[in-house]
Amino acid sequence: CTGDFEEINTNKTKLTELDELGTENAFAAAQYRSIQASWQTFQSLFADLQSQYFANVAQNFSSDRNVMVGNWLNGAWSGFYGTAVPALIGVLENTGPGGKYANPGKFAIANIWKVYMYLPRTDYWGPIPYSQVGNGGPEVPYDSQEAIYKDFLTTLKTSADALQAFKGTKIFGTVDQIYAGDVDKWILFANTLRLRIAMRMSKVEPALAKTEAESAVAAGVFTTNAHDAFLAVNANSFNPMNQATAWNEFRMSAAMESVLKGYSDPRMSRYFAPVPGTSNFKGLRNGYTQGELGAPENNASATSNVADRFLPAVQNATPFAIMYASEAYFLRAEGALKGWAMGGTAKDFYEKGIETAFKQWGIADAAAISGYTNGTTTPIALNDMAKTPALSDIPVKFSADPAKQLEQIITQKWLANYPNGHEAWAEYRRTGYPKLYARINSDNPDSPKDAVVRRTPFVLGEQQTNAKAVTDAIVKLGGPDKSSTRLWWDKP
Amino acid sequence: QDRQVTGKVNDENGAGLPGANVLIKGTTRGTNTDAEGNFTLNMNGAATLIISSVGYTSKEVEVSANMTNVTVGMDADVRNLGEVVVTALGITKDQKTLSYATQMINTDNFAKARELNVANSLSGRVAGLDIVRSSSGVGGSSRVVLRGDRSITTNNQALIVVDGVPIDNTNFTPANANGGREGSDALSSINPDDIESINVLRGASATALYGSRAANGALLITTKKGAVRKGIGVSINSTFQAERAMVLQNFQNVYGQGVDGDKIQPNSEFSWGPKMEGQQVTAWGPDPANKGKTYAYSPNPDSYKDFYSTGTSIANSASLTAGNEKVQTYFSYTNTAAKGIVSNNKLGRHNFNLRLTSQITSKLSFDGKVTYLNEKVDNRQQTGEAFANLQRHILRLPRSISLEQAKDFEYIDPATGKLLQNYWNPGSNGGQNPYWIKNRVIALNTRDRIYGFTQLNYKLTNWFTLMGRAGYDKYIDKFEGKWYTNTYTIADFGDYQTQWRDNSELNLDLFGLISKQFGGDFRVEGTIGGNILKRDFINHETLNNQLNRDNLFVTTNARNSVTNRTVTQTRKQGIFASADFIWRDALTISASARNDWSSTLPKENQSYFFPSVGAAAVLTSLFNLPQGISFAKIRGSYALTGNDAEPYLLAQTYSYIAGGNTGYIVRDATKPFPGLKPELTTAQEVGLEAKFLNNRIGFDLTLYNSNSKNQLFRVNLSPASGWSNEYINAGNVRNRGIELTLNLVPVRTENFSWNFDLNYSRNENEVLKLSDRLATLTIASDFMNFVRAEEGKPLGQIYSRGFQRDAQGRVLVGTNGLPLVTSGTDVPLGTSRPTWTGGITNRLSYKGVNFSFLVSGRIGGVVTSFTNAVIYADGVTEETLEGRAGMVVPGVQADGSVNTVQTTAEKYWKFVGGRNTPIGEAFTYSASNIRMREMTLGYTIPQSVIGKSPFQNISLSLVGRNLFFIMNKAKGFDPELVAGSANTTVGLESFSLPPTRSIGVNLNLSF
Repeated sequence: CTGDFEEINTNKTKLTELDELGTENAFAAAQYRSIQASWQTFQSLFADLQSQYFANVAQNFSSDRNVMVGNWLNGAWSGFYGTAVPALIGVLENTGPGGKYANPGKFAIANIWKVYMYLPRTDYWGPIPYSQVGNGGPEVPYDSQEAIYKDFLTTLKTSADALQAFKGTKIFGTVDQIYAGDVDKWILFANTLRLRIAMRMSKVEPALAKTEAESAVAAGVFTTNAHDAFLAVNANSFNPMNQATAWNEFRMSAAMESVLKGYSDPRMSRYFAPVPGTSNFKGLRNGYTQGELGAPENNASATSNVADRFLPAVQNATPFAIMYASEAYFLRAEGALKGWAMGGTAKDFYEKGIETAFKQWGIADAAAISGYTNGTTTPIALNDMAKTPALSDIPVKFSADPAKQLEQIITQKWLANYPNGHEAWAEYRRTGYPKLYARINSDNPDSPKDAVVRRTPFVLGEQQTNAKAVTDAIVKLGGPDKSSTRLWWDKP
Repeated sequence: QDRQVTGKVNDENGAGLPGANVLIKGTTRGTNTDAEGNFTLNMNGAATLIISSVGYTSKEVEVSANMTNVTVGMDADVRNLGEVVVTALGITKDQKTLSYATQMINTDNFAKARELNVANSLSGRVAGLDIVRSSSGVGGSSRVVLRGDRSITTNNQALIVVDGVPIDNTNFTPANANGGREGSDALSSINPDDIESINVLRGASATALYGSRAANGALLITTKKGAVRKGIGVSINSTFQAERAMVLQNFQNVYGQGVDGDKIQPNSEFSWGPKMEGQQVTAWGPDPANKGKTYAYSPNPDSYKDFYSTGTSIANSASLTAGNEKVQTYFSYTNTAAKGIVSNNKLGRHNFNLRLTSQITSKLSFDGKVTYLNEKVDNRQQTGEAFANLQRHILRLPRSISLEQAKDFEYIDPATGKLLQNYWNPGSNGGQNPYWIKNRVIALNTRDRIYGFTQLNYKLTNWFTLMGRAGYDKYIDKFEGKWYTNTYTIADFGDYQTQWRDNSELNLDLFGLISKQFGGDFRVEGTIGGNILKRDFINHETLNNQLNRDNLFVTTNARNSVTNRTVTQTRKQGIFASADFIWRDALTISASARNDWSSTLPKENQSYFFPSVGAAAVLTSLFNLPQGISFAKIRGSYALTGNDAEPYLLAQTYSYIAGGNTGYIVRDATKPFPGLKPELTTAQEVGLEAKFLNNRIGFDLTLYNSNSKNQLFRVNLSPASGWSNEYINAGNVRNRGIELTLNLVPVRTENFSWNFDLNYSRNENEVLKLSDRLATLTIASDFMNFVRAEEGKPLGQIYSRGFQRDAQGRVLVGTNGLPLVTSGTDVPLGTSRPTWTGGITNRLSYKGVNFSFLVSGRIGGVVTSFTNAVIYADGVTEETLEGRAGMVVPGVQADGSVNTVQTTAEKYWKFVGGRNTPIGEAFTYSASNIRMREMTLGYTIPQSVIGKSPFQNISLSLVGRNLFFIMNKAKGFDPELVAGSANTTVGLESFSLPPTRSIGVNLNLSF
């Protein structure tokens, strides 16, 4: 009597099918997991330190000395591909043309999110699995970064166009943790993201970059903080950054201290907390040795932590930053510098970017904003263990010298994008700005202390499970699988 | 008036038994039998003779006044010689007819030299049995494997069968080198006082009747039952044991807390500071009460040793037996109270056992048993890399910090009133005050287990008996974890965890036992029957993640509560038949067949068939062999067994998870496997048993081979494929080896006897084939190692980072004076499994005094120590003394010149060791060790002294366990104390507890 075996072998505490409602829940999971699943190993331990928003204070951590810690990168990879991607695959399969619950609106939004979630990944590794994702293995080919970027542009344009038919409506509703289904905002998001991507490839494909950037701006990008994208959190899905700050592994960087103090930037207290028991803010340099980190002055309790809003106590309340309107202005400022039709001048966009960034943090006083925008002070030298000099000599006031203008724009974008480390690191690689400090030490011979880490190596797990594809990917990368090899868009 | 009485003492085969002791009861008069078993005695009137011989149960024979000749047939003592043995399904068989190897274990010492887990009493006693224990302290589990590892990624542990009924031995939380907390196992649920005998069925042929549960061999435990006797028999057994940590690490006592050789840093976790010369230094830690205080910067040579207290274990057991011809009962109660060397690691256990046997009518008999266990274990130790593993923190204690200071592990913050941790590096990622972890990370476990069976036998005819049996095993495990707020990085805001597991297994057996004689020479023993197995498991757990109010441990105080409930059900059905065709008790041909249907397999593969065949020939009965050979038998067998799969692997599942506004659905990461097949193991073995010189020399030699194919294993997929892993059926793992047991009785006189038992086994494991897709499979990884299965090599290949070397094998050194190391963890360090294991037991007895000792060895294989990687980098051990002022790493520069670049021990060890990227090659050792496993010295008060008292037996024993290493190649640790009982943790040492030496006393009274 084996008649009931099939029923017995059905898992009672799992779902066995993705129904229409389930497809929406899967989209929600894809949104959250692409941010949360590997936040620490993906962003915090690499990009946040490479972008010098933060410096590491955990004595036994080495990635701030440019070590490409294999287990962490492995975790970063599998967190994304193992949890976020399968959820999104289910959404795309079911809502796409011919899918069980075909729905062009949902399909378009899921595609826009797909581009957002893949962008920082290709900016870490270069070639990554993209078009063949979800093929069931055992081999999953990698796409070249060029192919991926070009597909990003097409996907964003197609999706934004598809959403035109749904303007004024809501798709996904409250399932969507970013815009609560607001189609109009998703269209702006798609265009702004397309502008970001176009700018990233402006050195390697200048003509295409110009066309795409102009097309994106013409279609409408973020203009006010009402457009800002934040991922909502709650008690069951909290802000991964707030969760990680409990571990006391990073503190304000010396770069942030030099610039924020030099400009008397009112965002200092929005971003960071004073040293406990004092009113002073103190950062530290990136790349100290274990011994140097052991010095009392470099201790977590002697340096500036993040501001209260990023602490674990409010991990269920502080929404996670996805993309800000200020970034759109800084992108347009840079586009204008290049002579692209961005609908205004570089100076206007630069100042509008600062104003938008300030307002985002609740600094709306016009005098304060214009005082800052016209500021002539410069970053300061620090009285720290390394006797750190000033980061740069540029003031906030927009320079007449075109050579300085780009540095100003990117420096302000760096300040404004806080704490979005992977975008800041990508733009630092592309532009060389802001002029970040050399590391105090590097334990990675491929990327010495005064070199910029240009990418992260392919991960160990892939070398074991997908070896041939990795070998092919190194060919597509066009250089050795090292942290010193430049990505496709990263030209000197 | 004396008369001469002549007699003969025969053994169980009717052959004369030499050397037997013949005594006239109530006198001191007696004699020994000669080489033919004959004796002569002078006696007066009627008398009772007491006849005894080692290996046989003593017998009393009435000799009436007119008798002048007497013949006595002796029965072999089952426990000593194993002539009648319990086999699969609880069927007893004549040992002579078996076509496969079994080993009866002498369990006499189990209740005396007691272990909290019976598994550990088996160590060193059984050929082919490999036992390693988890480093969990009191209440930990052990890994019991027979004849090597067959399955690459699934269970390799032997089946545990009690009185014919399998009991569940699932370890739900096998810890690995990355850390965890081990659970209980089945053998720890068995009370040593109740054990009558243990028979080990090593190979698949022996266990073939268990079908798909049989592949890993079995331990058949027979428990005591009541006997027909006069009055009530009472036995009391009391044991007290004390254990102390054996400190194997050599700590340095020269340099204190700090870095760079000259900097004293009060918040450093390292001991790379200056020499400790009693300097006054600033007190460490955030406790405001210590602000401004100083203390002497001096060595604390005994801080590690003194951290551990004396563990104790007290076991008291009482058993009652009574019985008449109709009904026999056995009842026992045992109370065990133990405390580990970490003083709040405690165990309290109650075992109740009631056995009832009854001959209801001449045809119908009943046997039934119920065993109840209640166990409470506090603070089973975390293992491995876990930040909550106490060992990690006590080992890392900077050498200038005294235990007295560290005991100041918490304080109330005057500003907030909060209870906070006092530690030298506040908020550290990876460091904690060991006393905080001991006292503020609390784990409470309880287990209630009830198992037993009822069995009815009905003798239909004189050759056919029908038997029905229902066996049930159920346990409920409860866990409570209380993590106090301010447990750095793992519970900064506290955590409260609860878990509740309900596991049950029901076995229903119905079978017919056939025993038919055909003529005088030929008989058939057979079995035909069926089995239904139902297993149900429910797991319910909650995690608070963070607490709203500090240190209030209730589930409603959760900031981010997660509740999880899983239900697992499997069903299996089997029908089986077996037959032994026996000719003159000398030649046996055996065959068995079983067909199973498992619910975990797809419909088309649900049914699978396992046959076995075998033969045994008693050469001494068939041929006229020389006098010196008292017994000789050859045997051989072939069997096919298997292993079904875990449930729910066939179809895609999705999990619903709290989050977002309406919940999340995620697709589970394992790719469905609709074509799943059962694993198959084919096994062959041949053996030779022989006894010489009237059984004073005996050996049993077995050669075996097994191939496990179609293995179900999980291989990682690139997660970009949409799934993180998938199951495949592939592989072929071969185990072949040799097992030898040797039993000698070098001396056997009236007053003195010496028994010598030796066991030896050597297993060659080789992964002949993995799959077409992959030649190596990573089965585990941690910060330091990868453990792999590789074609052409034994399972459990350990890989890590290693030194780069030139063509001549010299270490390459970089321009900074530090060795160059490989970038990946791809340097082979060796296999984790031993080449051979063995044990020698000597039992000496002189009148009432007996002395025994067991030496066991586990030779070959390697073990890597993550502990050493971390603590050498911390600078706490003697190994780090050399080169503090400067050293040159022996090796060559890239240009081939001898390296002359200076570095320091601090730079060297921090580079080579440490937590995140240690160079495993530098911390790999041979796992070979030989130890004095057990010693007992006992005294039984002679009958002549207690003859008139109500006591039948009073014996007192002194026992010692794990007394010392005769040889230990590992540096600073015990290579058999591994992180956990998972397949993959063998050979990986990671912050294990120190091994312990225990000494105790045992008193046994019966009346």
